[in-house]
Amino acid sequence: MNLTPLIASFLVFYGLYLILSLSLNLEYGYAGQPNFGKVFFYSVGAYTAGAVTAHTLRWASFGPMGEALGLPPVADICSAAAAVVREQLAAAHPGLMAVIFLTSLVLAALLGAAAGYLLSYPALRVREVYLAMVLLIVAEISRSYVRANSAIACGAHGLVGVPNPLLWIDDPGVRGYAYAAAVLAVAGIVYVVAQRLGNSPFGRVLKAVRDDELAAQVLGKRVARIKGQVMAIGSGMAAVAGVLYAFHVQFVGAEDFIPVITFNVLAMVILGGAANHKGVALGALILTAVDRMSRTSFLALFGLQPPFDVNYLRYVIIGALLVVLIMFRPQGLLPEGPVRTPAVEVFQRRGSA
Amino acid sequence: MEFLAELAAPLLTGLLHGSLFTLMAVGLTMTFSVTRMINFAHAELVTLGAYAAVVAVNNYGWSLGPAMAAAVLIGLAAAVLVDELVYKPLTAMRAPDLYLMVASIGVSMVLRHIIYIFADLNGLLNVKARVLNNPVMFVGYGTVTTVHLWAVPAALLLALGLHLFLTQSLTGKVMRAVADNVMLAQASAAPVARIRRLAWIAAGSLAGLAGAVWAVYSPVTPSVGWGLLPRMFASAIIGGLVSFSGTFIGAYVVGFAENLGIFLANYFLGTPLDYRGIITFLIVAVMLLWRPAGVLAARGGGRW
Repeated sequence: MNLTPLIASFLVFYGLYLILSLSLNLEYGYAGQPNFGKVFFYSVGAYTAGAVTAHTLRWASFGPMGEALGLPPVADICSAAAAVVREQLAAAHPGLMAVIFLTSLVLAALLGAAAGYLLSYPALRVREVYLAMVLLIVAEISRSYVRANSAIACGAHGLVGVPNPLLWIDDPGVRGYAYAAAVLAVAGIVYVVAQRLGNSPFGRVLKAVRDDELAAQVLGKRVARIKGQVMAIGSGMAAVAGVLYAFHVQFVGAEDFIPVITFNVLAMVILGGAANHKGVALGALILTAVDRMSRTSFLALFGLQPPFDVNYLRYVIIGALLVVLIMFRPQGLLPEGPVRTPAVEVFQRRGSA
Repeated sequence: MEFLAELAAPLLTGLLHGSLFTLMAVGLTMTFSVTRMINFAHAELVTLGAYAAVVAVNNYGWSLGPAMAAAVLIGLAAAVLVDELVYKPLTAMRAPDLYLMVASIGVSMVLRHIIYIFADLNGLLNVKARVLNNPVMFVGYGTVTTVHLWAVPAALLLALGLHLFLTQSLTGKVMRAVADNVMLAQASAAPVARIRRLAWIAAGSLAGLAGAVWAVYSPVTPSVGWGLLPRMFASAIIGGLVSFSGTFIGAYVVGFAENLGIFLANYFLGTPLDYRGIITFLIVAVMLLWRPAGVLAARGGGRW
């Protein structure tokens, strides 16, 4: 029984869900902005990664890199032949792939942040339930649009063959673990950033906006700008996760970005505890485990063959979890704690001494 | 003349969809007015109705009348049960609106995927109720079918009945009072719990009925309701989620926009027909941002 791909894929998905749930935690847990369009910002990252990879490697196929490998120049990036050319180029040129990978990450973070900043506009006009609906609808508009338009991600078929940047590593097991390590490293950086932001004065302003917008405004906080900033930060993070996702599954298609992904991330935040990054990391861990274990390939390892598609069961579990949590433990497993500032820590030490 | 003949088909489909969206969206408006929550699980009430009709007709050989009655009962029972188990306790705890919405998203996911599992086990993932939908008349390239003959009058009758109920009967007036201001209604000894129950009963039965009609008209999957939810929501938001006449108008606006609108855009501007769904989403986004209280609210009043 070869568990290597399963473990590597579990680690990658934990990293992805950790980034997504931390970003939603900043927006929803801290600032009270229910970004139910999370999957849209995630998709922005994936489309960016797909476009950067496909167009750069198409350009490379015309030059000496393509000639050296005896590859035909790519005419149509959506064709199956183009996918094969991309994989061969990626396996032969680690440096080029590293540039593509890093460019995608930076570009996606910027595009995601810009989209998030622009979409904070509805938050100034409507109350939170309607804001959640607007963002949910934006994600659905974008999905319909990308599906109907071949320019962004090859329309309904999707862009096949977005080669992993580590394709030059021959052993698939080592490659899987190496990529998982890269994803977890990015997730670790996002965790530290989210934690520092949460405990900073900025984090306290976010909570003030969440708890009483009017009071925050009276105290001279610029609520509109703060909402824009938190949406930009969270959306940039989600787009980074989208890049990492695209290079992991090596495919980008509009149909991957359905609303239940947002709801899954929302369940992670509520399960762990809104406005508590440690709790959210725990929630993401539990629900990533549920996600990876409710797969036909995983159950087959134990000789289990349910008579129906197990994917359905996963959504029953997530849905039921949302209902039960909202009814019986809306604060989550690890409830929100006091803000840890240096001053608080000094006082606590004195109090205990 | 060729253009007019082509125009007939989207016109007739728009009329039918508008009527069916009316049946679906009125329940969404009714539950929102009384409980102030956006019930995502309304979609699954429609799906339950559709599957009740399909199973009754195809597997048990029932005729259409009893099958529709079963669909209404299933929709009604599910609506009341979900309210009793989830929404009512949450309202009693004074949960914020957003919590109620998240809970309804959870309920919707659970119901939808239980229906998926049921359908997968019984080979019903994509089925149509085996009832003949006979063509009655041909108009240009369009066809008037039996479903047109009962869905359109049913929607009009519903609108008329609702209007009379809300303006003439005491219960209807109390329901409007509860929708307007729960605290005030309660202080005036309005039976809020009973009105609430009535709203869920009406919403569930209408959704079940609409689902059954949809299953006669077109093949259904376990996400038929979920796919139609944006249409129901667009219809209801045109009335600000509180106005029944607005919802009625909204349903036909959405029905015609998705069929006639996309046809005209395609005919004159060459817009791809794949953009059909985007029209509905745009209606919702624009309404939510521009006039979340509904188009009729602009004239100050006229809420029913």
